[in-house]
Amino acid sequence: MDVELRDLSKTYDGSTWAVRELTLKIPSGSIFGLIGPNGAGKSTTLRMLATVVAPSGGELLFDGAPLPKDPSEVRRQIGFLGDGNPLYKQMSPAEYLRFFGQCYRLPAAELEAAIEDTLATFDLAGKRDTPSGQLSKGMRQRLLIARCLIHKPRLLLLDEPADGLDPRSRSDLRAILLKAKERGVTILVSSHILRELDDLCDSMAIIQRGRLVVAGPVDAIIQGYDVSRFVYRLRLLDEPGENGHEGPGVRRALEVLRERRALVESTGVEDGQPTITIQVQGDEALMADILAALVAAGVRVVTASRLRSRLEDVYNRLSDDRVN
Amino acid sequence: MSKLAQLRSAALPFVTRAHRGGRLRRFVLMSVLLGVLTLILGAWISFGNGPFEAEIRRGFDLEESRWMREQQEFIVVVDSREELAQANAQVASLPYDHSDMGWNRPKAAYDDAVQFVTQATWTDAPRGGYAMRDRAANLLASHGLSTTRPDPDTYYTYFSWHDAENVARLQAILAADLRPQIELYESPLTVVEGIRVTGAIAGGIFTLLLLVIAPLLVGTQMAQEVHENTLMPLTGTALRTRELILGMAAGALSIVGILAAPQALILLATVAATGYLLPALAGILVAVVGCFFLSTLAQLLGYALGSQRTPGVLGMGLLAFFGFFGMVGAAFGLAPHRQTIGILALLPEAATTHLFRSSLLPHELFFSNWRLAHEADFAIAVGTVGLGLLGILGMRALERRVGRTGDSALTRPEALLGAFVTTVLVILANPARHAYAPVEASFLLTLAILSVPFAIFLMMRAPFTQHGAERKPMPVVGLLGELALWAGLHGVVTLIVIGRPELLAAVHPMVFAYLGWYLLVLGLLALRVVARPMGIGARVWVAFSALFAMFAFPQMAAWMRPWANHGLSDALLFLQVSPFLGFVQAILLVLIPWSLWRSLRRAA
Repeated sequence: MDVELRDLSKTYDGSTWAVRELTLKIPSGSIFGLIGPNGAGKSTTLRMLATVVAPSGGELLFDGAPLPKDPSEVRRQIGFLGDGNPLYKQMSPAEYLRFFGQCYRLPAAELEAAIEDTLATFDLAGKRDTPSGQLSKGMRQRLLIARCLIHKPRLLLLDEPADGLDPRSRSDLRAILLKAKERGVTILVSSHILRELDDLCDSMAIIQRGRLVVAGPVDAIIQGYDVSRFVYRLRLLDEPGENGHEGPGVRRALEVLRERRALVESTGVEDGQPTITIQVQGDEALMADILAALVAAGVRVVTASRLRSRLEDVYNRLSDDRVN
Repeated sequence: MSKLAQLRSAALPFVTRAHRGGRLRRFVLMSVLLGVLTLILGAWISFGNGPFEAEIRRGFDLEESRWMREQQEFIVVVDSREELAQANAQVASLPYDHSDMGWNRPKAAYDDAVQFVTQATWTDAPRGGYAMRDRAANLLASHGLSTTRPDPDTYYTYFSWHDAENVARLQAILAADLRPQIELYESPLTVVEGIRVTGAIAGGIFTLLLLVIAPLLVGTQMAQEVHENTLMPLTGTALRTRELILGMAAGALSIVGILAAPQALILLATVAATGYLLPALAGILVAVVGCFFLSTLAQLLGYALGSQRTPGVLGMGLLAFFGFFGMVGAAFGLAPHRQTIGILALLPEAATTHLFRSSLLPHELFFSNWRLAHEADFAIAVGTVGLGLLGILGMRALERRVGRTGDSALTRPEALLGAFVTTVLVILANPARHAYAPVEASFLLTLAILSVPFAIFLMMRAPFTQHGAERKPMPVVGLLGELALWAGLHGVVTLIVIGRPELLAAVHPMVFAYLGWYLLVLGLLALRVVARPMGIGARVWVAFSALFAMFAFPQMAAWMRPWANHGLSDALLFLQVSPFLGFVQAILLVLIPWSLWRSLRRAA
């Protein structure tokens, strides 16, 4: 489903704008990320797209057609997960999916088949009849997203779907979204965890105080903002230093990093091992050279992981330049 | 898809949810058990011979008091076969030696009867009573009893030959030859009466389920959806707002329906066998309409308060609210009186109870004349239509609130219709309408009662704050004008009902001044509550202002009549307490509307 927002605006009290003149085009079958800090207007935008909140101004186009007066037909093609969406704790996953499937007026036979299929897809078949209140947080979140897909929507709107999930559940979520994308579903997902969206989204928009800051394909934005600074964390294997000072390995590593013009942000300890957080002004080849130099100097590097994504750097850059 | 099919499809998810798991089976089982329990209860209350069930029968006037029967029929009623044998032995030994200080019931009945008969022989009898008086004297003589006039200082017995009950009792004593009959207690109810009692119990449970339990469940469910934020995802589904509201209600009502169905069947079966079917069917219709109105009201309350209060607290509040009106309604419905017959229009519980009772017992048993019976029917018909209309208005208001459509919960014509309907219902229900109470009492009483619905309608007319591109300023003057129109309508209907328009000319202008002040404050208070969030200080001030506004009623009453002899202390009643309080009243009369007006303008 093609979605277009034209000068979409919303005010709740008539004086302050939650969303102001937002213009976006979300191509059919893409995963679109909506990024912004708390209070930026992400949830309001998604609610307007889900047709549960009426815009104060502007226009919404679904497949090029404006929203009809009775939006119930459009709603049948939308799956919406709002923020703070609690489950009915006494209902089992099967009952919950059946309830929402009926709310979308799915025929009985089709609904029962969809329930079984969705439970299997979301790895909830084993918990089919367990009350939702007894499910883990990850399972509950999976169930909530499953509810949004039970009626096979063409547009999926997810407001902070990864909020509070552990890494395993986040990974599952990514897999689910990619699977939905394969089926041709257009996905609009909002998040403030940018690493989640970095290599998941095809396009994205950054909004701040209800206004659009930038929008477009992720790669184009990253290139457009010339992000060449990366942050890495190195974990070393080292002897403990005397009187609480750094050990010999860390001291050697800091020397090498200084020579290689890597900016040391901080040092610390993780899982009993010393860590060094550095900023590298350059591409990944430069980081590979630094690592080789460290190893050549006898530093025992256990892991080197990138802390912030390129998208986060874009966001930070924008915050520095425009948002603030 | 037809409207009915759409409705069924909207109700399906909520009904399925309500019946999920083994719930449907449990509800059906509970319903059957409740039906069986009704039958057992009916049989037990009708035919049980224990003191508890006898007390219940006497409480509902199904049976004469035991003492009255013993007096009237000159019998002694006992509760067991052992008592029966013992009492018969005691009767056989009557009259025994007075030196024996033992006391027993046959002896007490005997002594009482002797005094009664003696009194009868000493009382002037009409010509037709001569023979019986002679028989009484002969009876005493035949038992060798003294015919001396009883000393009123030691033993008082009343007898009158003109009292039919006295004469009947004397006849029973004469026939029994001063020896009371001993009777083993048995329920006096016949099979037909027993069936009616069972029907009455089924009718009572049916009324309770539809007019107390159903709105309680519907309102609590709405409060829960709002409180736990589960309503929002539902508004994003394929269901339209109206379908969502009706569907939600259908889920809770389906449970009540399962429980109520056997009760309705028992009621109709008993009525078909022993009573009048038409009033029973009318009662079911009124209960359904009342259930619709009360459920909509409960949904509105649940939606409005669900975000601020837990469903449990709200549920208890709703139970107290509907339970109180249920009990009051049942009391008015069971004992209709000329002055309170209009309450049948206002309380569906009263109307339903009355109709179920009418279906089991003939009108003449509790109505002195047919005119009163017709008045009851008229009140019920008007009330049913009125409550149905109010239910539809409530649903429209809820639909706009939940769906955030329209500028306000009610349009101007809808609010006017609502105000008119409530005015008619309240005036019809006003007991002072029938009494020889002054006209102003009727006017002030109904105005005070109508203040609540009028304030609610005005709140529903206030524009939504979360709608529209620009903040719409609160049209305070326009809304106050609407309130004035409703109040004027109330005055006109009052005059039409009372039928004395000339009274209007006799009213002192000061009454209109206070009436205008009261309506101004009432309107401003209602708008202030919905205009913007209130802090603790604002809440206290609004509550104080509402309380102070009530003093307008004694002020209006003081100036109603007569024209003459009014002084400054009547203009400010607090002056009668102290000059200082009079001064405070004068200040508040200006300060309250001014402060409310100012805060509303600031909010705009």
